[in-house]
Amino acid sequence: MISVTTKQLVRKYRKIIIAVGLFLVFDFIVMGTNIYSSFKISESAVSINLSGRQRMLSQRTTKALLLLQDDVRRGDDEDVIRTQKELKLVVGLFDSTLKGFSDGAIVTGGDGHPVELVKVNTDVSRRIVQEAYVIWTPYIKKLQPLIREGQFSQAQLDAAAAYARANNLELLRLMNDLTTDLEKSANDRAFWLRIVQFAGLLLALVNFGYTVVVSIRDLVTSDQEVAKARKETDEILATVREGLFLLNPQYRIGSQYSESLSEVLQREVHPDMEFLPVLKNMVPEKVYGAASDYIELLFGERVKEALVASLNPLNEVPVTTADPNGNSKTRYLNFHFNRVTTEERISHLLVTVQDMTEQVLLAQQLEQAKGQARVEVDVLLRLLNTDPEALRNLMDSANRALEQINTRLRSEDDSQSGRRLTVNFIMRTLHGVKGEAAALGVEMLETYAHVCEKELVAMRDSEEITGENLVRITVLLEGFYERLSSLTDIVSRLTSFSGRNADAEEEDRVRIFTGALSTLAERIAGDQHKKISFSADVDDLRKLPLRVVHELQAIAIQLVRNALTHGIESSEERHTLGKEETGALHISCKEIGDYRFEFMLRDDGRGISPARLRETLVNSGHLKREEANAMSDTEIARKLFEPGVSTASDADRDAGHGVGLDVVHAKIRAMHGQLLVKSRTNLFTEFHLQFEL
Amino acid sequence: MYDISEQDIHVFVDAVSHYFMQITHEKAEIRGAFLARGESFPPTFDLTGMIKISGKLRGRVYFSAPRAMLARLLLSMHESCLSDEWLLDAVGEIANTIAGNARRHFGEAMEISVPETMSTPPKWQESAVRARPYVILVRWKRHDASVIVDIEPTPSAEVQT
Repeated sequence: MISVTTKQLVRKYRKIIIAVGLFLVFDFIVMGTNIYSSFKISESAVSINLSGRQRMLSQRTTKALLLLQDDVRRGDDEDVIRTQKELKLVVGLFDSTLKGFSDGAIVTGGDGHPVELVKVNTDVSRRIVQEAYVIWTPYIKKLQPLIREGQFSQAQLDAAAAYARANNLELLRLMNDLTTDLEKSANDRAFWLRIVQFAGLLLALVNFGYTVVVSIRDLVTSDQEVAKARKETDEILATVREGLFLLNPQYRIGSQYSESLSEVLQREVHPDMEFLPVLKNMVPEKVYGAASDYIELLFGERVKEALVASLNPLNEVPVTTADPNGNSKTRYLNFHFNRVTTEERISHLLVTVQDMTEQVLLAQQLEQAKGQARVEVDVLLRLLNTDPEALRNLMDSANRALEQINTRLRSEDDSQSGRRLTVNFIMRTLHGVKGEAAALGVEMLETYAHVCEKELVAMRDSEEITGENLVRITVLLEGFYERLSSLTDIVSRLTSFSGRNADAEEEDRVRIFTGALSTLAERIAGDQHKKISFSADVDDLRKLPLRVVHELQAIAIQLVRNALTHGIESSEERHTLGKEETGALHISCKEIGDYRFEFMLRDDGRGISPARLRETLVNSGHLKREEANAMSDTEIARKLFEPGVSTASDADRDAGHGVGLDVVHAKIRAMHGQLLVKSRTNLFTEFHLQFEL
Repeated sequence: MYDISEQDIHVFVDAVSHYFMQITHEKAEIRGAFLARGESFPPTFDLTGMIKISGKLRGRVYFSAPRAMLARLLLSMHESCLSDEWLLDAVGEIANTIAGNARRHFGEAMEISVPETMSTPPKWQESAVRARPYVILVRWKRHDASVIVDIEPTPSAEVQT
């Protein structure tokens, strides 16, 4: 799961956050110092200004005293009063200001407004103020009578004037020193302020530099990590054999995907490409539908990934892709989907595509090999109970059939109709082999013939029989040869083991003939849960050449198969119809004239129903309704002997491919024989084959 | 018992088909297939290219074509010299393509020889490994040629790993 929490962010940008924090702290300190200092400088300015005023006031006091002496001497009362006022003003200001310097107070400022004067705080200033008080205290006492309203004596005036003359310079010096000391103090403060400002600025610069360096270093490191991660991702994507890509919620392929993706999908891939159309072209419609539902399900937040994993329809899915030559090929692919979540939401699906063709084919081969081993053991056990002569006949017959098939494959006619005839011929021939193998219970050949037959039916029913189909048939044919060769090997080992010599064995064709058909009839009846009683009267077979007996056997096999599948009813059905629960199957072979023979097979089953057959032929598309209605019952019955016609609803190994009676027909034609079919609905069916030697 | 698969056979046939497609933009179609049974060289054509295979699989693969087909091929490549030497070169080139395809498909599990060419039917029975080699007939511009696949898995005792 990919999720970025606040904690992770703080950890990642810790250094930058600290640097910004320090920057703010330095800023506040410098700003605070500035504000404090400006306040202090303002105080100092007031003090310096007022101490300068004290110098001026000391001189104005002396001047006013001397003027008052002169005014009094001249006897000018108006001037006396004016000078008294001036004296009162300056003495009041000087005294209150001096008090302010000593203890701190609100005093009248230079502009006439009240200002706060703080008490002096240096030792020098405090000493100067004390010394000033030493002079000022007697001085103001002498001045009090002069500034009070009313008369003062000449003596009081003279005393004050004399005191002023004596102390004026000293008081001026003290006030001068005070001003100097206050200026020095202000300068000191201004100096510290500059130091603090400079230090603050310096720290801010250092901090800025640090922030820049850390940020750049982090950015570079982060870029390097991203580049490294990208390189590693690229290397992985270039090397990995699986197709890897991210699918976004709009079902589009992401910008990064593994190089092998195009190869695995066998098509060009580009970023932001829609994925579903790609899938649609590769898999069957049904699988595509299920796959798109599954992907939609995975993007839904409510469904748990693990719970729906088993619904993935794209496991070892066969896909059809075209190779560079334009030939379509079937491969097996695995599509695996994993959710990718960001901040607890599904952002993408990580899709892994694996080409499983090799593994699937190997597994199939292994399964085939296992099956074959099983079959071989099975064959061995069955063959122990089978007549060696019958086996030899079967192998000869199968070998001849395979030779015929191979010769047919070499035919020059490669038109569609020619190929279709070839496929029909091969089906007929294999069906014959299958029947003979079934009669002897040689499942190894019967099963393989059935597998081949199924593929051949698909080819026969397809629109076009291609060259690839013929290659496939050749591969199947070679498989048949291999099995036959294994069987020959097994039989020869068996013969030497049992000490029997097949050639030396007394030929009892009647026993072999009836034994094989009886085995087959019982096997099919067992498979179809039917009851059967088999009887035979075939002694005249001894009068026939072996070749003809084999042909008759091949025909009989198809007819027995046909009778059991289509004729004999189930026990329940027979019971309902008032028949014996056990069906009867009888074969006979009689000489009916000079070198003329009749071979007959009869079952007491449901008979051939022309109405039912007509319906089947119409429904299966072999005939149009009008054609079927226009045909007589006999014509309809003849259709049973054409390739591809079957009345069985499902194909299994005993019926349903519409090949059996086709084989019978071909063989009878080859024998120049005649076939007569007699049947009564729900009573019986008889096949009479008459031929001459 | 493991035998060669249909896919293995297609590797050789597709190589031929692909070759014609690349050179002439018209692929060679599969016309038919059958098993060679104890005859002389199955469908006898004039010139033959052959590769030998050893390793996990062993045997030979032949491509055999009539002169007319190879001449037509050379003409479509704008070659005007149609002597046997040039026709043999062409058949050798196709055998080479078959070898290349086989190398890609089978990887290192197989060693594939340099193609040999011949203008007389090869004495294939002496070197045949299969009882019934596969013969696949291909057709290009109405000319028939054949690919004969006579390979089988090497018995495990003989495979050097």
